[in-house]
Amino acid sequence: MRTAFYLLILVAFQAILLAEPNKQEVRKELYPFDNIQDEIRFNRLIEDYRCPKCQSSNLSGSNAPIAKDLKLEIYKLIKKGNKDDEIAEFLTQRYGNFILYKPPFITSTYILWIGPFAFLFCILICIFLIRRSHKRQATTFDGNELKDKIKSALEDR
Amino acid sequence: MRKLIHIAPLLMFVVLVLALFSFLQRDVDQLNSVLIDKNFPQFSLTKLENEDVVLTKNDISDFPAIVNVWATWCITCRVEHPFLLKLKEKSEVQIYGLNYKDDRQKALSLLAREGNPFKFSIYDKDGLLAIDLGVYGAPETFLINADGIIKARHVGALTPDIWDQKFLIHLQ
Repeated sequence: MRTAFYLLILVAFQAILLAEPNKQEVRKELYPFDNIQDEIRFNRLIEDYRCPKCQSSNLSGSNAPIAKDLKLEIYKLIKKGNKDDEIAEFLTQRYGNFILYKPPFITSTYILWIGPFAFLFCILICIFLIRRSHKRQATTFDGNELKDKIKSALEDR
Repeated sequence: MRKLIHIAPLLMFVVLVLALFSFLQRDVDQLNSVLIDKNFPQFSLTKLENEDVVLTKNDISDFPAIVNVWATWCITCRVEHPFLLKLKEKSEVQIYGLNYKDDRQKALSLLAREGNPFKFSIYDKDGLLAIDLGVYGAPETFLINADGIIKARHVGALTPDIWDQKFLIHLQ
């Protein structure tokens, strides 16, 4: 009885897994390529660009109409034999650097690239200064002074 | 001085948190257009009102002008429609339409029913010109100044306030 129950669950799971459409398979039908290199490139590029409408997902993960259009556009550009940087140029000329998940190293993004390291550097300097001042406190502590004090206190008795 | 060093990391952290927090308040729906201070892109598409007429960039020739990206499936476009009609009456700015990924018949019957604020509409069924314009959601409106240069872009419904704040300053 129990075995039958577990079997049923297993079959149900299998059915769910099979019903879940395979993303790659669907993509293959929608965007057919002649060679595997282009297909891999396409799958990589649509992961690398941001959907301008739903800004927290990439083109691959978005079903917004504009994401579909841009996927189609990338597909066409690959089919036409455009290189990766030409596709990047096409997209940034229209949608700006915003569409890139990895921002370029330009004046307006210096803070993005350098900021965290500068922050870390400042913190390290602080830690260094704090430790040094502690050490100095420790070394300036004079044991003899205390000894004298104790001695005089004992003599007073 | 020694005390200052001790609280410096905390201060830096607080400043960082405040800075990041202020970014949360920013309106990210309005992306800056790459086309600001540039010419309108080249295109070759049919006229919405007549599918035998092919329009190009040269047909957008009366400046200053706005190019409004609209569609019948776009609900916010209906919200701004009365404002566009009013603008057509009151302002000397030319209004061109870019009918975006729409059905020609549906678009034409909507204009017949609700009124047509556009001098004409470009029929962009596949959203090709829209991609060249960096459009990512209708409605969008581009402002072209007297010299034919794009000076502003607004994403979302055009309202009198936005018109005054964002567009009028480029027309004086």
